[in-house]
This record gives sequence, C-alpha cells and structure tokens, in this order.
Amino acid sequence: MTAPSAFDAVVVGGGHNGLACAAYLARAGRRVIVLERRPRVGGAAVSEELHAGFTYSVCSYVVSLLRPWIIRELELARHGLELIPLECSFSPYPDGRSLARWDDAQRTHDEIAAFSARDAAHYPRYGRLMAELAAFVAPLIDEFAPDPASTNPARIAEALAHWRRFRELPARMRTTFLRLMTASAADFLDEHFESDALKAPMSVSGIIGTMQGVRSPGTAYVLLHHYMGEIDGHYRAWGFARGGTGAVSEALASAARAHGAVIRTDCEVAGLLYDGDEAVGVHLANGDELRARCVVSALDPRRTFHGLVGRERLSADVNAQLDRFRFRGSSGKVNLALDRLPSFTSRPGAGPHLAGDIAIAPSVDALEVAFDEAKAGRWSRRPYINVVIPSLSDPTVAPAGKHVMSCFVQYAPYELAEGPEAWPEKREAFGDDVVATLEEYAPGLRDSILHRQVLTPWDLEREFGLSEGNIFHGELSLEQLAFLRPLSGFARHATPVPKLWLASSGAHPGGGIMGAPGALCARRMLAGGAL
Amino acid sequence: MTPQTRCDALVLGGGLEGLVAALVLARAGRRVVVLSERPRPGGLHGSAELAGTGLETRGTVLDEERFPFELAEELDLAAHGLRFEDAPDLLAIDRAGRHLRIARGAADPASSLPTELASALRAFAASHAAHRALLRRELRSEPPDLVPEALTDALRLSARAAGWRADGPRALYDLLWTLPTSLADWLGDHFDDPLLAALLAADALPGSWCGPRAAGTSAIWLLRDAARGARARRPIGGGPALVRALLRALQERGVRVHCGEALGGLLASGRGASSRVRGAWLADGREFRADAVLSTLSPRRTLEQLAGVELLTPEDRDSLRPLRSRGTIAVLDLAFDREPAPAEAEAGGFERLRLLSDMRQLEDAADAVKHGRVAQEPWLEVFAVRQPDGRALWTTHVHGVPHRLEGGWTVSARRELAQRVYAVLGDAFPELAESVTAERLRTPSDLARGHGLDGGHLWQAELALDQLLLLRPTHELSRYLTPLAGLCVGGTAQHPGGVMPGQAGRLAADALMRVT
Ligand SMILES: Cc1cc2nc3c(=O)[nH]c(=O)nc-3n(C[C@H](O)[C@H](O)[C@H](O)COP(=O)(O)OP(=O)(O)OC[C@H]3O[C@@H](n4cnc5c(N)ncnc54)[C@H](O)[C@@H]3O)c2cc1C
Repeated sequence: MTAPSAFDAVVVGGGHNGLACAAYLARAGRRVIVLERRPRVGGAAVSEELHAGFTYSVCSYVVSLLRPWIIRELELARHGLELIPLECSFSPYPDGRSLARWDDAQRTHDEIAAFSARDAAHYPRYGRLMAELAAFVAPLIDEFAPDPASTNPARIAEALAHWRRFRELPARMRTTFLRLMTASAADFLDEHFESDALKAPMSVSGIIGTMQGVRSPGTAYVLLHHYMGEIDGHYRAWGFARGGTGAVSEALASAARAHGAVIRTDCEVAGLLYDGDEAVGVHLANGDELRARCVVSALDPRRTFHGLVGRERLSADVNAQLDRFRFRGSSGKVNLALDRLPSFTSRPGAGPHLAGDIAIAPSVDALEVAFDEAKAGRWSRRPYINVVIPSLSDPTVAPAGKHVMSCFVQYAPYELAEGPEAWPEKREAFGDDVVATLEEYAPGLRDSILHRQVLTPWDLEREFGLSEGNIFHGELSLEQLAFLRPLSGFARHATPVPKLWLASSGAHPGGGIMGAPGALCARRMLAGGAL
Repeated sequence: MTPQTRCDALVLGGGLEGLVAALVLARAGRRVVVLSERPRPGGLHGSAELAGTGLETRGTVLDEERFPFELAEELDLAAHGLRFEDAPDLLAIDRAGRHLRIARGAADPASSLPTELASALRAFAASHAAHRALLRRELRSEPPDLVPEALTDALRLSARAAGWRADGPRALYDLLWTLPTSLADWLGDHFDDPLLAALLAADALPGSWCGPRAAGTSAIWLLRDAARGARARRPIGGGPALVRALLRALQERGVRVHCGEALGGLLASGRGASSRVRGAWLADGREFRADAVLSTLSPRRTLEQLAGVELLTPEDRDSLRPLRSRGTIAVLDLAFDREPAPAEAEAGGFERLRLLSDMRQLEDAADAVKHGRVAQEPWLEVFAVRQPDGRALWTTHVHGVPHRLEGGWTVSARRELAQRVYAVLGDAFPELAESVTAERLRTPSDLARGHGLDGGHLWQAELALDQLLLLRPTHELSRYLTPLAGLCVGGTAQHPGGVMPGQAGRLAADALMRVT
C-alpha cells in the first residue's frame, strides 16, 4: 500500500461529524475514505435493534441542533432523513401535579397558569427574547470560532463584525446576552419565573452533558440552544429522526457515498503515518496502512492527540492543555423495550403528553441534590431523567402496540468514588435506580419492561470511544468553547500536527447532533487550499 | 419650612467607600456632606468595642490587605497618619492539626512552606504573575462601555482591548481560559496537597455564594490576587486606621460626616424622564439639598427604597431583579484575657489564621448554604488583635452559614451554630472554650439588620461571574450611573467592591464629576 495516495483525505471515525466532513469534501470533488471502528457508522448518533423488533436510538435521542444549511446542502431529506417534531414537554411532579408545555400557546398558558399566572403571562415574552438571542448567537455556531487574540487582520475583522452585531442589539438584549454567558441556568430563570415547577424542567438543558449543577455559573448559555432554529410562533425545533437517531448518520453516509466517498466499517485506526512532521495516512489495528494527502480525525481530542498522535509528537504546552481539557462524563442512558405505554399518576393513561419529551426534574433543589451526590462520586439516587417514547410518533421503531422508551440520565459521574472501573459491576444497580425513580411517577412501568439496556459513562467510553464518557467530546464549559476548543490557537480545525485536521465535537462549536464541526472542518480544508 | 442644608454633592453612607468618595470629591473642590445611618463612621471597616471588654475589633470585613496603596497616595493619606506595613503571614491548620504558613508580606511568600510545596506554589505564582498588572489596571478603572457613542469613548475601548492583547496571544488565551474556570479545577491541576489547595482557594470564596467547583471562582481569585499584589501590604492598624485617616482628611477640608441619621428618601425635581435627584430627606423631616447624590448604600436600598417607585420605571426596577446578595458568613468575636495555646505548638503564632482541611470541606460548606443549612464543619478565618497586657480579641469569619436558615434563626439554631464553630476552634485550640471571656455572634441575618446589608452579604452583591467587572452589580449600573439623573452609586456592590476596598467609591466619585 505504498502507491501514491489514492485518497485526498482519510477520515478517522464515522460519527455524524466525520460523515458530514467526508460528504462535504466528496461533494467538492475530493477523494475521501471514512474508517469506522464499529460495525456501523454514526458513533453516538446511531440506531440499533438490540431486542427483536425494537430499535433503540442507543445514545442521542432527539435532533435539535442539526444545522438547517447542512440538511439543505447535502440534501439529507433526499437521502432518507425525515424529522418528526416533538410537540410537547411534559413534567410530572411528586405531589401528583404535572405540567405540559405544548405547541399551542393558549394551552401552554393555561397549564402554566395552574402554577403561576405571572409565569404564564411572561412565558411567551421569554420565548421571544430567547428566540431573538438565539438568532444573534446562531452565526457563532455556523462560522469558525472568533479569536480575540489573533493578530491576523482577517480574524480581527471577524471579531469586529461580531462586536458590531452586538452593538446593534437593543440594550436589554445586550444585558441578557452577557448574563446568559455567565449566569447559572437557575439564576437566569429566577429572573423570569417564580414557579419551581416551570423552572426545574427548563433549567436542566443547562446541565446536559456537564458535571455542573443548575445553580452552577455558566450553565445558562445552553438554555439558548432550545430556541435555536425556532421560527416565530413555533415550538422549539426538536424532533425525532424517523427510524431512530441513526437515520441522521445514515443520511449523511448516503450523501457522502453519492458524492463518491468510500466508507469502511469494522476498521479501527491505530495511529498515523508521517512524512517528517506531516500526517500522510493511517495504520490500522489489523496492520494495514492507508495513505492520503491529509488526515481528518473525527475522534475526540484525547483520542486524537493522545491516542492517534501520541504525547511525544506534541509540545509540552499542547500536552498540558490536553491534560487540563475536561471530559468527566456525567450522564448515562437507559433504553427500554416496553410491552405497553407507561401511565403517569399525575396524568394517567395514554395521550399526546407522552409523545414529546418527558422531564423528571421535580425541583431545582432536587436537581442540586442529584448533583451533590455526583460530586461525591456517586450516581444520583433520584436523578434527572429525560424520557422520550419515539415509538409513539414513529411506528417503525417498535412492533405494533409496543414501545421503546429512551431515558437520558444525569448524574452518572465517570469518576465513581471507587474509581471508574467499578462501573461494570454497578451498572445494573444504576439501571435499577433509574427504573425505581420512574416507577415513582409511573407505577407499573417495571412490569412492562421486555428488555433493558443500561449505558454508564464507562460503557460510553468503551463502546463508543467517548473519553470518560463525555457525550460532547469534552465539557461545553466557557473555558472549553470557541477559540479555546479544544486547544487555544488551534480552534479552527487545524491541529499542531501538519495535515491533521479535527472534525469532531471536540472542535468548535462542540457536541450534539449539529454536524457543524464536521462541515466547518471541510470548509476550512477546502478554503485553506490544503486540498 | 423644613430645615435645609445645601451642598454640591451628598454622599450616602459613611463606610469606607463613602468616605473615599467624599474625599475624592472634596479634593476636587466640591462641597460635600456625608450622611450615615450608622452611629459610627467606617461601616464594616470601622472598629467597635466588644461590649464590656474594652477591646476594640479591627472591623468586620478585614480585607484591608487589598486596599490599593495608589489610592492612599492619591488621597495623600500619609499626611493624615496612614502608614503601610508588610501583611502578616497566613497560617492554616487542618482538622488533623497539620499546619502550613504563607508569608504573604514577604518577597517570596512560599519561603515559609516545606520545600516541595514551596516550589509548587512558586510555579503556580509564576504561571499567573503575568496577568497581575493587567487585572490591577482593570480593578483601578471603571468597567468599559462596550457600545460607546462618542468617538473618544470608542478610542478608549479600543485602547483597553489593546491592553488585553498587549502581552501576546498566549497570555490572553491563558487568561481567558483561567477566568471562567473553577478553582477546584485550576488549583487541582497545580497542587496535590489538599490543605495548600484549600488554603489558597479560600481567598476567593468569601462573598461568593458558590463553592470552589463553581465556574468563575478563578476569576475572583485572580482579581483578589491582583488587588493584593505579589507582596501584600496593609495599612498599619487595619480598617480602623484607614477610617481615621480618611476622617481627618475630610475634617481638614471641612466635610461634615453626619452619623446616626435615618434616611427617608431621595428628593427629586421634575417628573418621569426629566426628573433629577436633588438631595435626600431624613425620617425626621430635615432635608439635605445637593446638585448630585452619590449613594454607597446597596443598590436595592438606594433604588428600591430611597428612590422608590415614584422615580423608577418598571424596567429600571426589573433590571435589579437578577441582583443576588445572599450572605454566607457569620462573624464571631471572642475576647480572651489570655489566649489559648494551639494543640500543635509548632504551628506558631498568627495574626491571620484559616482553619480548613481540603477543597471538599469548602464545597460542602457552600452546598449546605445552598440548601438553607449550616455547614456540618464550617471553615473559619480568624483575625487576632492583641493588647500589650496579653488580652486579645479574635474576629472569626464562619463560612457556610446561610442568611435564610431552614427553620429560621431561632435561639437553638444560634446555639447549634456556636457549637459547630467551637468544635472546629476546639480542635486547634483545646482550651479555647474555657479561655473566652466575652463573645458576640452575628449571623448573616444579624448583619443584615445591624449594618443594613441586603441578605447579610458583607459586600452588598455576591461575587460571581455574572456580577463581576462590567456586570457588577448589574450591567446597567456597572458604570456608577443610575437611571436617575443626579444619582450615582458607589458602594461595594460596584466594581471593584469585594475585591479592592475603597476603589468603588473612588471610581463612583469620578463618574459623578464627569456628569455634573
Ligand atoms: C447517551 C448520549 C445521549 C445524547 N443525546 C443527545 C441528544 O439527544 N441530542 C443531541 O443533539 N446530542 C446528543 N448527544 C450528543 C451527540 O450524540 C454527540 O455529541 C455526537 O453524536 C458526537 O458526534 P461526533 O461525530 O462528533 O463523534 P462520535 O459520534 O463520537 O463519533 C466518533 C466515531 O469515531 C469512532 N472511532 C473511535 N475510535 C476510532 C478509531 N480508533 N478508529 C476508527 N474509528 C474510531 C467511534 O466509533 C465513533 O463512531 C448524546 C450523546 C450521548 C452519548
């Protein structure tokens, strides 16, 4: 395999970002090959039939941030992607009450009014404020990271352009933006609402995937994500992919193939090939070598730099930055195949409230207690759980009359007090606590379970290659965003290794099924004349 | 006719910030009057006798090490008797009796540590020393206007931005990485020794509602470090000496400081958008008329109570909503005829002592507060003042005490708090309980009442990422001007209050002079 490289780029990792990057490169006429370790593509955006007839969205379960321009440019709909909007957010409470927020403003108003008339009146105003701010922030995740330290005139011009947009915001929005970047989710919501029943389920978006609590500063920003892409009057743009989240990856893979990319699965990359300092290909776990004009890593920063590359090829400064880059996964996942729908005590029976996302977040204090346990190296005995039952909207994922239930669980700290290696033996006990928590709100659930899959942060690391089980390839905390993600000076997909590029969630703008890191990486490679 | 007094500027509040503001204005030739609601000037920096002992405290906040010597020079306080000295060592003892000592006032503060820890501390200090000058400049300046209208302001903003970039990209990246990071992470990367890490972290936590794991605690730490400088100095005699020098300077310039005056509200002329603050009236009906008012009382007291709904628009009032000021510190004063000896004699003497063990304890204390409880094992900071005859007074900050205690501050809750504090003190000083001749315990709610502090918070507004620098106390109020013409704010809720004492008063006075 020493022939002059048959490929312009070899993409390591077939997660959705690796696929998006490959699709864009192929679309621009470059010869690309994607190498994925697992038997199927998708990484954390994957569907698998783990119990006959039941398809789980094994890891990620809702699609919210997938950039609309990627869907358009890569014609993902033509490649089979169909998004089914979620039309409700439902939260049951221990006192037997419940709150559902709907697509329909009047209905939502009436539901919230049962807890607070003031909050009900303010809710639409809050939504408009956040939607406007989301519109302000969107360019930041659709473009390369602005860099305040750069002396390059083009970078300075970009930073000034962002500042100009900031200046044009009304004064009140400027303040709100600054607070969103610095406040805690709970404090930010306290400014707007009084009812805990409303604030608790709203605040949790700030903690997903981080080892922070809803009262930890810096968590408010993620509240905005819920309003990205929202169109006036519409409920937030959350949805299921028909066939499970893996359909996003399948559509990206299909688009990439249609443009000529080659995708190989069951193909683990062990390291890079170099010509001097430059990356010129990869060698595989099976001993094969594959050369290309450049290498794209779609793995997280630790796997990329301390796995594929190795410390010895990196400067002391880069190694130090990587060592302090925080992963510390904090979430787990429990997937259930159900014989029948669950029935919540606070709103019994079937109904449209089950078709959206269901938040078990009884109060801000309860969420903080859950976090306190995680700090001490234990999973939360009564965790925050985000439940969805996609089979209600998408009959393809379960046999008729049966259901799949996906439970995203926090906190499940990677660092258990006994050490992360203790997870395998605790896995089922953790799963039991999750089911017991749900059982308190939906008695009888336990008896309806036909199959259960429990994923701890340890499993996410082992099975999906997510370091320390961090679902976003590194925490989305302020010091790990934008020009600091993942390494200062290397936030634009180039890396300290010449001809090695980073396309994963570990790059700006970060984790979630966004596709932006992969697409931006391709854009950068093509524009920079590297390819 | 009500009795009236006229002046150019009326300063509300006779604490450190108010006295500094008044002196800055007076030195610029303004006729100034200071109105204080407390019976004695100096506020939390002033001394008070511990009843029946004849012993005077050195004030309540005890952050005089961060009083900027530049300000003392600008105000020529040396002429009024103010002298500086090297700050005393900082001693820490953990629950097992192990101790560490940092020589805050020495050229090499690490010199008093065991070799290995000393080199860790030196390496750490070197890693952030580069930021000190920049941050100190920020502390000494008013927060920037991010959207300047006038060209000169725009130029000032770009000069400011250039200052941040002056040390090159590496330094800026490093600073921008550190500011939002949590102390637990940042210090955890540098120190293996739990006591040393906790001892250092404790610098940033007073005034923060959060524990060391919270994002942005490193920003507080860096700012306080910059305020103290590489080698800490302090006014000889502490806060009370500072207050005395300021009072003498004010007196020399004929500024009257009225104490014990109950404020009624602000006087204003005009209505709505054209209204202008023209002074203040007292509860007894007297009026103080002035061209402008500078209030160093808390923003809520100033705007919600003294200005009131008649003057503020609903939007202005809304902008105060996010402001948080929940105290987490109780203050215990203890008097001794003879000080108790430490359990471990080799710990040595101290003037400033921290009783704490590890980061976990600091985090637990914040968690307890979060849930409305007193920490199981509060961490303490003790400041000792000694008399030549051997008598001593210890002012102890007890950390991990909520303002709003679950179940309220009942007699038994206070007793419980005192017991927990005595337990921690007793570990380090076995004979302490028997040696105490007088004590005074003030919970955050006592402090709220006794000093007019919102939430019993010693610096009027919590120190948090969203209440620092250009967000302190809110973005709208960060440049010392209020929605009301003729009214400025300059208490510790303002930048850089809680970090660099005195400076907020100075910057607010500058702002006032710019607009009147
Ligand atoms: C439990 C869970 C729930 C989530 N829920 C949501 C959600 O609801 N909504 C949302 O938007 N986001 C969610 N996320 C986050 C989101 O799924 C991820 O951030 C995103 O999918 C990461 O995509 P990626 O392409 O950057 O990386 P990955 O998906 O991690 O892809 C990396 C790929 O590289 C492969 N690989 C690793 N090592 C090698 C090697 N040596 N050689 C070859 N291949 C290798 C891996 O197998 C993997 O396929 C969730 C994540 C998890 C784990």
